[in-house]
Amino acid sequence: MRFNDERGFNDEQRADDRRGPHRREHELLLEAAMAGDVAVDDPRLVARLMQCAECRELHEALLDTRELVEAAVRDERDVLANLDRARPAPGSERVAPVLRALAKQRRELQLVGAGARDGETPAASGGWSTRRIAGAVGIAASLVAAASIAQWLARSDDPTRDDEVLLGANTKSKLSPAGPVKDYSPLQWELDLPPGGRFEITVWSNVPGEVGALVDKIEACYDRKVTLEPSRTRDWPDRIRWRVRVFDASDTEVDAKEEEAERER
Amino acid sequence: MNTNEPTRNDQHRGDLELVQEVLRDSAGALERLIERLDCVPLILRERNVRSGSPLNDDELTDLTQETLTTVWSKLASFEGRASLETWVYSFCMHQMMNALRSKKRRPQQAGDEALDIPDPSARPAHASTFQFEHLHATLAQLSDLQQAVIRLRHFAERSFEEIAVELGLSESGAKTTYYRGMVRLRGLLAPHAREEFA
Repeated sequence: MRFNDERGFNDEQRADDRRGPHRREHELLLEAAMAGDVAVDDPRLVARLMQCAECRELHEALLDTRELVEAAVRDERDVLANLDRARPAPGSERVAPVLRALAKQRRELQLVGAGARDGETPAASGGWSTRRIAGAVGIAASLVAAASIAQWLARSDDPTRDDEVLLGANTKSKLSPAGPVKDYSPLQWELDLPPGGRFEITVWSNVPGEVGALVDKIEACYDRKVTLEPSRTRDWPDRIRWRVRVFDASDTEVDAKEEEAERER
Repeated sequence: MNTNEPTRNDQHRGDLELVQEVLRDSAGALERLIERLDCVPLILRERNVRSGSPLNDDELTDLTQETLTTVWSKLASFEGRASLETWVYSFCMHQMMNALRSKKRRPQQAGDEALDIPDPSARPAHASTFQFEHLHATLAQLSDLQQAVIRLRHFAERSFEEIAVELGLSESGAKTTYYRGMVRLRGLLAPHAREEFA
């Protein structure tokens, strides 16, 4: 199949053309108007907008959208220009510890990777944080996700599975662990996953004096259960708050549930 | 004009170098990044205030941590086309939108009127700040190229000629990508495409 025909049109433009010989020409004029190549009072544009209701509607909608984008730009510049750096905001005290822990995690994971490549066992390090943050590119998270993907694919092939997802209407979302428990792992929940979506797990400390401190995070998993190695949860605090978020294929959050748990020693 | 002042591109190049140094684990780079990303809680606080303060301090703290981990995970994708603060701002807006949606799903308490999100299709003269959060979240749904062109055109105020050079397009290709991106953006912003405000 040719990409560009003798007019230089690609498949999409040919589809436009099939809707009517003047359709593509109208789009080109609107495109030129949006690019500023045709003035708003250009007689060709004025005449087209008077004659074609579809063009008029689309042109107005695009001008509205552009105006919204411009307003957002002005708003952003105003916010950034007026940040009050002299007055700490909620969470300001978390910036340094979170980023240092993420950087440390990244170095540790790179060390593990290098050790595996060289066939050596990474030296046990007293530097392993007692408050690990799984972070964004955690190899552990990738491994958990990879194992879960296979299970998710198997489930998605099941013809008896009901794929209908009631967004934000998960009434059966029982989370475990909840309340007093002997072990935090496995983490389980009964939320539905939209096609192409992901679960995200976040764990915070719930110990007085450090409530809200980020403990661990799994960026993406695809099953309703995550089993973590004892070495990972061993250093978690004795009281945690944890959350499951559900994201759809466009990475929009569609649901979230939280629970608190205490580990009995 | 003071020729000793750094140009816009120089400032952005400096930001790109900083990020690359952080990713290389260069000495001192992380602490400089921490200073810069101190803007995250400040941006979120300011956005919260402009939106009628729907989130409390604990929620803002959680949101700060969420946003930082997301920014960190995407650090390698920073290309220096905008300042670090502008780049981070879009993440703050996206995470704020998710937090607002999440809170709206929970049973509303008295005083949660700030969560009553107005008609998202309202003309810009009546645009609320929630529309800005939604706009940023919706921009992220465009193709990478369409996003880049729109951001360079509006947020970085580049000409189509400059955009074409920066992205390796022809000038006409940049204009077409811009047009198609704006058409798609409008479609995604339309009320029927957004179930959560039904």
